[in-house]
Amino acid sequence: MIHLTRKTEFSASHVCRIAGLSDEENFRLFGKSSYPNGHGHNYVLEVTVKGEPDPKTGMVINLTDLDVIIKKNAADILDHRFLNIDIPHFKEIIPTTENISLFIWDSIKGSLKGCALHMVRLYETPELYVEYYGE
Amino acid sequence: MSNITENRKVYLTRVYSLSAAHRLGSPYLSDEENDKLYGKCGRSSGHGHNYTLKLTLSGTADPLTGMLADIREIDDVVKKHIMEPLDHKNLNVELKTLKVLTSETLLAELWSRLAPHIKNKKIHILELEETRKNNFKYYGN
Repeated sequence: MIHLTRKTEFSASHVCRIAGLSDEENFRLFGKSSYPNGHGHNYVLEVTVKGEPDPKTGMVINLTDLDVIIKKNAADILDHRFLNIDIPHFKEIIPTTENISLFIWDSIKGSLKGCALHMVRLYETPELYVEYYGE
Repeated sequence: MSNITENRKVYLTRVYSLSAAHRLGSPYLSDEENDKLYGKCGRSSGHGHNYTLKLTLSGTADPLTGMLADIREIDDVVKKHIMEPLDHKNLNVELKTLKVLTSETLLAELWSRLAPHIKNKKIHILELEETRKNNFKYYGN
């Protein structure tokens, strides 16, 4: 069993707020992330898949194919967007790093063939990241 | 407010930088034995590192906020119990209770300083990079 990780980057803006709460209440929950006009990040996405290398190709998955799957289903959809406004999923769901990670997992999982999704790791900044293993 | 976090376990990691001096040396060994064992790491005047500390919490995100933890609270705990007492300090001076000050004993000490103050959250792993070549992990067991 081999684990294989592909790294992708996307840049997006977001805001963490709960509609109906005051600015003060939102700040208490989310801090600076609640400023109403939003802010942005250079997200770094690491997707790890696992599987046995194909006896013919020696590969768990063709990295180019994996890259296309990640971009087409997740990264390109989120790149240079205001997540709360442009992505229907995040109209109601707050685009925290946790929720974006789950969204990416759910978006990619069904498209993988011949290998299994092991982990999604999403860096909001180099100092803060979330991992999801499908648990 | 709907969410997609129900019963889904996520891991949240926060990365901190800690610069400090230390030297290796065991009171249970002679000068000669210390010198043989620790080499340049044991030189009496000490040396320093840019340590990288990674704190990983695990659990389900709060259904209301979509967050596993309020990072400001975690940062405050780390600042109060690790950064303020130890950053830009000499660890052998500040942590006299540690008989031998290796990254292993330092990591266990850092865990015990943090754990009582991380309320209602599970620390999954605490990781200490002494240099880019040396990495230590502690799962609390």
